Amino acid sequence: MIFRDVEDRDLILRARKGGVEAYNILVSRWEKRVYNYILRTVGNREDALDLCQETFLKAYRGIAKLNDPARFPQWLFRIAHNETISLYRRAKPVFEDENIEQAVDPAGLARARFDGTTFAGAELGLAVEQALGRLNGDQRQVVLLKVYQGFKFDEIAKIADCPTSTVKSRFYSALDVLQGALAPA
Amino acid sequence: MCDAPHRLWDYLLDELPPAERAEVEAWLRTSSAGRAELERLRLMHAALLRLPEEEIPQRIAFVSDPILEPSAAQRLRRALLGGAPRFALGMAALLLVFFAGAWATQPTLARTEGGWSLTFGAPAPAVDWQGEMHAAAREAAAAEARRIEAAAAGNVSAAEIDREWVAAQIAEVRRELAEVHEDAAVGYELVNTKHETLKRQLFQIDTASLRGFGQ
Repeated sequence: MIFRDVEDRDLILRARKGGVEAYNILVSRWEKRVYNYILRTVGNREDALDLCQETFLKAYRGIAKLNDPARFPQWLFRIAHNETISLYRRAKPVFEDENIEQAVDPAGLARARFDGTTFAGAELGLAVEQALGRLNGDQRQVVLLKVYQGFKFDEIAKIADCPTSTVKSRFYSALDVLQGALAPA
Repeated sequence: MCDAPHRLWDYLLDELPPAERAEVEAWLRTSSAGRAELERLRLMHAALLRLPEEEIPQRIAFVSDPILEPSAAQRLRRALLGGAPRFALGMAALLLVFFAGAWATQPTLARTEGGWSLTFGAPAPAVDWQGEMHAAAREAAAAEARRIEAAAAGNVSAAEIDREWVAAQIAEVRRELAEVHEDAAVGYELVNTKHETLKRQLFQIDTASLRGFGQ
């Protein structure tokens, strides 16, 4: 992990000097994570790809302003976060569509529910997706950044531009919703 | 411990400082309910991580396009303002080179006949063209005056004084006076001095001639 960090740092320094090839390597390392974060936020592959491309384009244009290469992940996800916010402002996201539950097989979801002992394989992924869909936008983004991207609470606070206490509040309230969806009492 | 229901999540997600982490671990060693709750949270966390990641449908890559490249102005700005210490160091080096060069070459900017000239080394001698022209005019006038006075005193034979030549010179000088614009003060003064000298010379010649007639 340390070796990878050093490599990223070198690529970032080269990209800051306009090195397109170095930046492309950097993109290849981070595009899947960014794409999935955006996809799970906006719920639409086409939008997610567009926003992902826009995120990396903006990152390239602004990378000279990134003084500390170690902050690249937070900085990149902040750009991605802002891109999703801008999409929210332009159009209603799919996850907030009232018909979203109809797109999921209720019977499969019931079988996939976490009962404290077993999971129902691939259906669990669907159940998790369904559960994430029950979160509001703020809750979902915090869960995505914390659980799937591994950021610390204070890093998420900088990405989402809000106090750390707010991030924690959103996260714990999201966990309550998720627990209710995945492991009902 | 149980009065902080989210503390186990913080423990699980490695968000607790070392002291609090040790406190939770001590509590877990004595509480079977706490261990069961932690296990339940682990399973839920594991369940959340079962959400599959998708491959990006289209790889993102940038080409070395001029649109993406920083402009010349941006590169210059980055070079100059990329870091205050680097900028200050660069300016200091530039000033050092400038003053060292000035000290070594001693450049002098002076006005010459053909315009301005920059010379290096010892300062270029100042050329006082106006003064030199004045001096030349005074010298010419004095020489002519001396000749005329000598002629008037009878020390110069009449043959040495060619009245026709002097008259022709006066005519020529008058033409020069008409051509020289008064703004060209030095040239005008020089020609005018010459004119006055020649008139005085002609007067002296005529006086000498009259004196000769009287003798």
